[in-house]
Formats: sequence, structure tokens, C-alpha cells
Amino acid sequence: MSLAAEAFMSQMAAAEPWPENATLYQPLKEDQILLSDCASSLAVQAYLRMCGLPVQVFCRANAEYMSPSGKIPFIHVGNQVVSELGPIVQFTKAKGHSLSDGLDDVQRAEMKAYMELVNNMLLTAEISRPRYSSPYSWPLNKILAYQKQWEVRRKMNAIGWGGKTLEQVYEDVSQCCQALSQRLGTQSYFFNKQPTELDALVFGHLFTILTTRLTSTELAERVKSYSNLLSFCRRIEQTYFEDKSS
Amino acid sequence: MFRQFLLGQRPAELSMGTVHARSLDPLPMHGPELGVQADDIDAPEMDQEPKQEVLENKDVVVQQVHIDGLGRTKEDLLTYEISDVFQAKNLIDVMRKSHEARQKLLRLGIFRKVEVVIDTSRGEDALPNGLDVTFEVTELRRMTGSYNTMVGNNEGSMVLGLKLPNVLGRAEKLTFQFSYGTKETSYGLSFFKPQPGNFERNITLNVYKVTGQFPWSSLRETDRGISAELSFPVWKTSQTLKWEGVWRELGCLARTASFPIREESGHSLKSSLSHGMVIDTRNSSILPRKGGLLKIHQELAGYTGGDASFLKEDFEIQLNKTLFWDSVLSASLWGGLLLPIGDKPTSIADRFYLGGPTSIRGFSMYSMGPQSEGDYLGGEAYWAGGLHLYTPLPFRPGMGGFGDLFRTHFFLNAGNLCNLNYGEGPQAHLKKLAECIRWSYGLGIVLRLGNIARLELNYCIPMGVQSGDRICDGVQFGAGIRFL
Repeated sequence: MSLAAEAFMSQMAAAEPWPENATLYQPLKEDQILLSDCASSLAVQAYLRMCGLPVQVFCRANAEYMSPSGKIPFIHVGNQVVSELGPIVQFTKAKGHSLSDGLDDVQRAEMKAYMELVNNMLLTAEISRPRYSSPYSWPLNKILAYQKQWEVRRKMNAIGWGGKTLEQVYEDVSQCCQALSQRLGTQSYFFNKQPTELDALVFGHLFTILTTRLTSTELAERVKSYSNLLSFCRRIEQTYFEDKSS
Repeated sequence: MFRQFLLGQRPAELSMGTVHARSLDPLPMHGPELGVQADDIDAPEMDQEPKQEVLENKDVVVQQVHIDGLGRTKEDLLTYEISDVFQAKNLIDVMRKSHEARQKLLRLGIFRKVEVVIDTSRGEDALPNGLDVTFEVTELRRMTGSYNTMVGNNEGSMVLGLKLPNVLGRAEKLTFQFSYGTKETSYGLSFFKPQPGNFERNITLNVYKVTGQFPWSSLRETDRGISAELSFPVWKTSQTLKWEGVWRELGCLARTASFPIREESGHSLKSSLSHGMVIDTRNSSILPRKGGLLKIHQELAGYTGGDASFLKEDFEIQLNKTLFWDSVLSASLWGGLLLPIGDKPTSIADRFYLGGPTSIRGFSMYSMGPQSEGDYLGGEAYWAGGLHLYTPLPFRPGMGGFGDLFRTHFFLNAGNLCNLNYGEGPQAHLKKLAECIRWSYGLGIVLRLGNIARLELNYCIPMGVQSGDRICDGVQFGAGIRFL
């Protein structure tokens, strides 16, 4: 968003408190959602729970078309619609809720760097396994599935992952997990004792990889080999998602 | 030596009474009705006085009917159109039936020109009162193209059209149109085939991609579809049966679109069967002076596949009557109902819209009824009625020429558009449609454009405006094909 648009939006957002009926939209769980979309959605949900902001989750077949940027998840708060974790963090900050206020500049830069790492490595690793079937009727489901696969392939080629074999992808993921594991060490969260958006993002991605039913569990195995990341995920799940696990 | 029958009257005023035959100097007379050739073989004999024979009711026999000038047209198609000429028993009949046959050949849309030559029979087995009728035709070119540029609605576009008439020899027509604009691109391919011998029974196949922008709803729609349509006349009505499969993609036109419009974005597939019936006894479709129109259309979607599932009905009635002093009173009524089948709600692409210079004047285009933050969502049921009095322009300027294209009109329009809760009974529905009626009245000038379109400039006073409607009181301009 341009600077002026951002400033305008912050002003609009700051005017109202967080309403009770905020909603979050994501694609259908069963047969439509892609791995990367699921991870992004979980990251946003974790972040909002960490901030203590209530949000209701709706699954819609046309969620990605409803989104103003084409990416999901997006939240509908009052009169405004905001999509993706980055803008949502900005939006909540304008309303006065922020998790990274306590960080100094160095830490904030570090946090951004790790978030980029996670986005580049884990997100694209998930994309390399497209799993998109469609809730629409024939022949629309075939057409849209082809379109999606073509888009994904094009994105991978654009970032240079098109030529990578599966082994290389797993190697990259392992390296990313190693970096994260080293940074986490024995702490509860990545920075001090408070969770930040980095924690939400890492949780979203790792949890999705661990719990999804992939054709091969290689990816999950690689992540499981780092025990502190495993316990990190479990801890966040218990702390913030326990009430919904019924 | 042979004699030929020549017609010395102006073709446009051919009277079917007396026909004079005389020979003339070779003066080709190609009129719009019948073109007849002159032969000057008899001229020297006829120096002194033209011989006139009154040929009324002289018995003749049509021995041969030829068609000259055929290229790719197949003959079996044409035998149906010209077979009636053989039935003629006297000269008047021959001329009338050949005139009708000429009209039938022209309506096939495959000939540029058709001329009729009536001659006495020649050859060994020629009877003394035998006639030969020859149709001299010029076929249309194999392919015609057109190129236009269009500007409107903040968009400019280039439109390319290609038409292939008579592509397989039996009056089939293939049309292709491509429109490339600054914002959207559309194209369409259409194949039309009439039944040989029965031109009114025909089948049309279409493949198209059409995009549209609807600023009153902040909505953008792209339709890609195929359709097959069968038309046939039944008694005085014209019936149409159609199957259509459309892949619709809806999107928001602006970031500020309201959330209900955002919820409608996405893809859907509609596969529907529809039936339409038209009875049209008007003398013209634009500014008719008498007659009436009844159009009924129903569409059932969902039973042949697709996501959309509904039953849609709409009708249009119009009655016209000429009153004293060249003025015409016209009354029209439109209505429609959209009934969703199953528990999925209806899509905005199927709902009805109302308001604007072509329906309820005095209101902005399609800006009536259910809305959310200024975006109009359309409704599932509507009705609209109009009462018009058309009079010639005061003081009749330019009478007989340009002035005849204009009319003044006084109008009264009323209507309503709403959503119905189909759980309640029909009583509740009628009550809902009858409350909060929007209506307007005013006067204006109507200009007729050819036989297809009309322009209006009106001064409107809207009444019964409900909260949320957008009005356009005062002067309003409208252009279109279908007006209430």
C-alpha cells in the first residue's frame, strides 16, 4: 500500500475499538485449502489470539476471490477488510494492540529477517506439493484446478525453485528449521518471554506441516527432528488453542 | 421471334388491376419490386402506335422457373421458396407469386440482389400461353468484415466483425465479433442454420466471452459460455428453446465495494434450460401505433449441472392504440420472479434490477431496491408499469421528413423491486410488492433511430422514493432498445 493509503487506513482503524463480530475468512478446509494458505491462516489466528482479540472463523469456497489482494486469510473488522499477516499486524497496531512494542530496533530487524526466512523457505516448500481440488461442479472444477497449478508453477519458476528436486527442497527446509531451532534455544518464545508475530508465523507453518496428511511424511519428519521446535508448537497450541480443541 | 411483356408503370405503385403491354425502346427498368428487361426486336414494327393489350385475367401456365447466378448456394434449398410460382394461373397471379418468392429469397439473407424476369416460354414444348420465370440473383460475398471503434463508459474499444453468409450453401451464417478495449476484451462466435424450406425454424449455436462493468453495484462480471437455441413458430407465436452453459466470474470493481458484493465474488457455473414465447402484432417495434406484444420467458437452472439452481420467470406486455389527432396511447407492464431451488442463496448475476432512463424514469440507472452502502444488490421479484401518450411535435416542424422521427411523450411509470421470503405465502408476497411503490411522471421528446433503437430526453419528477434509492430528477437522457 502507498504511504498515503497506509496513513489513511491507520487513521480510520484507530478511530474504532475492536468489535465483537470480527470475522476471518479462509477457503474450505476439506478439499480446497492449500498447505500454504492453511499455514497463513493459522498464523493469523494464532497472532490474534495472542493479542487477545476475538475473531470468528468462516470457511468460504470463494474466500480468495473475496480478498482485496487475492491472498487469504483476510479479516473483516467493522467496515474494513484486511488481508495477509503483515497488513493485519499493522492494522491491529493502529488499534493499539501490538506484540512487538517491547522490542528494540535490533530485535525488530532480527524478527523481520526470520519472518522473511520462514516465508521464503517454508511457504515455498509447501507450495511444491499442490493439493487443490475444487468444490465447484464439473467442468469448472477441472478448469480452476489447472489454473491454480499453473499459477503455482509459475510462482515457483519466478523464485528459481522450479528446477529444484524434492530432496533439495527438504534440505532447504531442514536448514531453515535449524536456524529457527538455534534462535529459539531453550526459551519459551523467540524474543524474551512474550510471543511476537514471529512466533505466530512459525507456529502456523510448523503446525500445518506436522499435522497435515501429506502423501509423504518426509517434511514432517524433518521438522520433528528438532525437539525444541516440536515442544514450542505444542506449547502454543495448548496455551492459545486449547479452548477450541473440543 | 418472341414477344415479351413489359410493364410501363412505376414499380412502387404496381396496381394489380390492369396491365398494359407494349414494347418500348430498350430502357432497362430496374425498380425495387420487379426488374424487367426490354428487348428492342419489336421496336421497328411499333413505330406508329403502341399496341396495348389488356391482359387482365388471361390464363397462363408457368412452365419453367429458373434461378440464374448461383455459385455456392445449393439448389434444393431454393426449390421450397420458388415452388409456389408454379401454382399461378393468370398473369396477375404470376406477378404476385414471383414477388412473394423474391421476398422469400431475400429474407434468407444470402443474396444481395434478386431480380425477376417473366418471359414467354421458348423451345419445342412451349405452350402458346406458357411462361418462363427467371430469378436472377447475385450472391453475397463469401466473407464481409467490419471494423469500428467505440467509446463509452470511460472505456474505448476496437470492434472487429466478420460475417460469412451462406457458408455451407444452405443459408447457414457464421458470425464472429471481437472487441478489444482499454479495460476488457470480449469475443463471440455464432453459427445460424435454418431448416431448408422453413426459414422460421432455425438453430443457433453461440460461443462467447463477454465482460461487463456495473458501477451501480461496484461489480465486474466476466461470462464465458456456450449456448444452443432452437426457434420455431407455432400458430401466431414464435417459440424459442435454449440451453446455455455459462462460467461466470464476479469481482469487485473497487476496493470500496461493500461486503455483500465482496461475498458474491468468485466463480460459478450456470447450466440452464429456457423457453421463450413471443407474440408481436405491433406494426413496428419502436414507437408502434397499434398492436400488442406479449413476451413470456422462463429459465430453469441446476437440473443439467452447474452450481446455480433456480427458476426464473419474466414477462413483458405492451398494448398500443391510436387516438385522435395522430396521438398514440401505450401501456406496458413488466414483471419477474426468481425462485431459488435448494438452500443456496441467489447470485447477484441472476437477480433483477430496476430503475433508469429505460425503465422507471427519474431514478438513476439500476439504482432502486435492496442496497448496501450505495451498492445495489438487485432483487428477486419486481414489477414495473408504464403509461405513455405519444404525440407529434407541437406545430409539426419538418413534417414528412426529419420531423417524423420525433415524438413528444407524456409518461407515468411505477414499479417495485424487492426480495421475497419464499417461506411466506403468495398473499404476503403481493402485499410486499404493493407497498413502497416507486413512481414517476413527466414529459419528454423521443427520437427514433432506424427500426432498432430510440433516444429520449425527459423531464422527470420521481415520487414514492424509498431510502436508499438514487434519483435523477429533472432532465434525464436515455438511449436504448427496450423501454418501459
